[in-house]
Amino acid sequence: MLYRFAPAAAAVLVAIVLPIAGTPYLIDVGTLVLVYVILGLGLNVVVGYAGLLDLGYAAFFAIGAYTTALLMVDYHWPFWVTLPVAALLTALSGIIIGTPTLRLRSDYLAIVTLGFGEIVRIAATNLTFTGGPEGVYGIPHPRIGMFVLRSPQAMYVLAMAFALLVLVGSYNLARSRLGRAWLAIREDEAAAQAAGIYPVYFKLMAYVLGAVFAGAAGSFFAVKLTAINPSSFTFIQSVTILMVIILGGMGSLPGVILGAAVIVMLPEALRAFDQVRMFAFGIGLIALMLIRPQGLWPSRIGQIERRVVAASAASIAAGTGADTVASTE
Amino acid sequence: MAAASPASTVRTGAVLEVEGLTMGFGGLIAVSEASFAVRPREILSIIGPNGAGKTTVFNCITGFLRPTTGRITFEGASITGLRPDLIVKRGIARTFQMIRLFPHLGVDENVMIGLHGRTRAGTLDSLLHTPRHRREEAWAREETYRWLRFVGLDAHARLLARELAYGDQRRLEIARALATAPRLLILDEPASGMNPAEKAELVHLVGRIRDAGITVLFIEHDMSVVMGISDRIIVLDYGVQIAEGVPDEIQRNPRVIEAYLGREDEE
Amino acid sequence: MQIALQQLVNGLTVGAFYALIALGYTMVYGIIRLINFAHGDIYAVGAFLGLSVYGLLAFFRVGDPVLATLVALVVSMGCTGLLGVLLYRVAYRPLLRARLSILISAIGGSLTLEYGLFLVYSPSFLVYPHLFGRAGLTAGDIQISWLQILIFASSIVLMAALYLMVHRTKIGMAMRALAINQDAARLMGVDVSRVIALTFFLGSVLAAFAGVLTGLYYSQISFLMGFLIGLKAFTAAVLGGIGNIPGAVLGGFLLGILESLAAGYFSSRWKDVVAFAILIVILVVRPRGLLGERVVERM
Ligand SMILES: Nc1ncnc2c1ncn2[C@@H]1O[C@H](COP(=O)(O)OP(=O)(O)O)[C@@H](O)[C@H]1O
Ligand SMILES: [Mg+2]
Repeated sequence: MLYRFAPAAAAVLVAIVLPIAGTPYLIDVGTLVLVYVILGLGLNVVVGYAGLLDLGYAAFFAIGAYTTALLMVDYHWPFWVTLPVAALLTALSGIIIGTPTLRLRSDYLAIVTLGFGEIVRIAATNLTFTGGPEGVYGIPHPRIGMFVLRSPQAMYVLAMAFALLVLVGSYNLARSRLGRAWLAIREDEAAAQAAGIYPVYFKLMAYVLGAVFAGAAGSFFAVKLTAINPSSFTFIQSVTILMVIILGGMGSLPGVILGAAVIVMLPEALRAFDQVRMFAFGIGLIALMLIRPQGLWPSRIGQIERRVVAASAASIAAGTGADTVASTE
Repeated sequence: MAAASPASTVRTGAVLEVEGLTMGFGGLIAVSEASFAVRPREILSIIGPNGAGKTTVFNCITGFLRPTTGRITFEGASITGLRPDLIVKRGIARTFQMIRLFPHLGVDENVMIGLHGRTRAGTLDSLLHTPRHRREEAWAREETYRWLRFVGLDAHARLLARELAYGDQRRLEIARALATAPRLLILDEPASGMNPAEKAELVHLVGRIRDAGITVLFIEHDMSVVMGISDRIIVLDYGVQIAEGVPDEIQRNPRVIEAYLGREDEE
Repeated sequence: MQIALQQLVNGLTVGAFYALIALGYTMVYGIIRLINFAHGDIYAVGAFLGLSVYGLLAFFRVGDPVLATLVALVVSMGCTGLLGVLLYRVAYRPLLRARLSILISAIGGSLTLEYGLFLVYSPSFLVYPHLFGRAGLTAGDIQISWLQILIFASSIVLMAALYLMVHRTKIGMAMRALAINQDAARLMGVDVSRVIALTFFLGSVLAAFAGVLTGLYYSQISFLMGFLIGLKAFTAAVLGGIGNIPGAVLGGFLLGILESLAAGYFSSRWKDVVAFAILIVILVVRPRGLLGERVVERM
């Protein structure tokens, strides 16, 4: 029992002590971890819960960030009013890109989302109203009444509030009617249909919820950094977020937190090795899939994935039905 | 009056009416001009050699295939070409020839997923875990156990579906279908791979399902099962319907004996 | 009209590259239903290996451009082909049944190759030798360089060879059998794993060929060069009908021409967006592409 609670207790303790005792640099690192927690939780709904591979997730992060940045800088809207607008716009773009493509095979979806991510980034770089390659700067700090959220502590607390909301939402989703429908679709789409589920709708829901979470993260990201540009929203960013959930364990909420912490802190700790970071990511992704597809902190979904991988490997070892692709074709 | 209208369906009192159903795959005509009606609360079997097109008929009725031509009417309304989930909502549930469960989910969850169309919680309810959602989940759990008891799997509720014995998996699939509250249940070779004891149990279960007011349409190979419980039988051969009648008639029909029973012996 | 014709010539050249790479995507997808995300990077590796060979030959004072190019092509194609097989063996083979995991592994393979090049070679652009210059044919304002003719002609020859191999040889028949039904192919005695490995080999060989030629054509290469072109070649494969070999060729040339026309008439900054937009529209409107067959899902 203790070993199950100890890590959680330690995490809570760190989360509370950090803003009180930490240096501004450490607090900022903590804030960045929280941003990746939000992003990871959002992508986890798409990849972990619904089993859809999204390779352009950073696009929604970008749409949220640019919405808040542009509304605050060009139209002087308060941060809190830009939030629902960002949520709405990301949801809308999720629907626009998802509706036609979610009917397709899941691997087609992966490539379409990749293309979508690139379109958004190229558009942000080439359009004038987004500020081109320089992006948007001079984004004001958010305020609550007269109080301006400026200090690292204040931003940390704000990020924590966002992250907790998203965490509770994710937790609820996992044990809901919606969560069950996702599990069913993930396991066997035809069987899910026979049980009365319309897969396209629920895939779209996962996709849109994931998009909204990323949009919220983007809004926060914009006011935290006060300047944004397209280089924060590349394919590599999408892969980094994917790495957060793969490392932690698909579908696992503690896993996402752990993954976010590792992904943010490892490069911070190994700044000198920045050159090999992406290389290590690549090797890491393959190795994780081969050795530990369930991630560091496996959930039930991770366990299912592990079984599928094990069955795949076993059939090859046995020489029977080796190299057969997923059987539902 | 060859083509029946919805009104005539009501008049004949059929639950399900299949008219001129044809399904082609490229050059292959898997089902050709099949027409039959299923009456309320009857047990109707479709038999025929492998590849005769039986499963294809089921796939057309349940929306997994869109028929090339033909018309399918359920309770007076056309369901031709409707999406599978919408057909489930209309009141038709099915099982698959090759069992399709959610193998890594719990036995109880498998049934609970069958309740999907009978519960209403939306995205916000799910996200916020509202009292409404909580009430609905409690109801769903009770309903799940009701059906597990009905098929005799309540003792295994907490296992994973893949951990069940083969015969139990078949029954779990039936429980999932029943959980959708169908008025017509379609079973695709439910007894295949079962031992005699399990088959006897299945026959008993199908009888109880009919007693619960549910019409049953099923495909079966085992003649003892088919002859024992069917009210009527339809015989398909190479996609063509060659006979229809009560078990006695079918057993005596020379075309059936030649086309189906004769060949069955070779297996 | 002048612009259109000139862009057509350029489009056919770029289209040849797309087609060569698209063939690798389409063959692998046809056989194991995997989008090999690392395929674009395989092409990049081919370009870098070719450059290394050129460097080595220059060191040994082999001056003849034709000979040097032949050696560079052969060595690069051979090594890259083996790399493709290695990738399959290590990163894909153990995961063939695990849909999501294999795609993630492919992303991992892509990053590994890209940043492997980055570490081994250089983070910036590298310059290819200028062996063939700009000389060529001129008709009015339209220019066609010898290099463009060489690229076009040799690509056509290679593609024809591939087509013949797939349709006229025993191993090609095994590939096709595998694409249609894996279990049946196995029962007929096809060594499934070897045929898949061969498919990866062939796809990688064609990609390496394209890699060396793009190096000569654009005269510079970078470790990320495979990312975008890989995505576009995949688009070409989908456009032609994924799994279909003539389709990949058709799609490649078509995409090359469309994109060149777009660049000629609009702005080249948006030409990548055009390619992705085509991809999305095709997948939505006609996912089986121009030449692909409709697949009926079996119950
Ligand atoms: N989705 C499909 N695509 C192509 N052919 C199919 C498909 N489904 C069934 N068939 C073919 O249709 C014929 C009838 O099959 P089926 O309905 O499964 O027969 P049965 O259930 O009576 O054994 C068979 O020849 C089968 O190969
Ligand atoms: Mg059948």
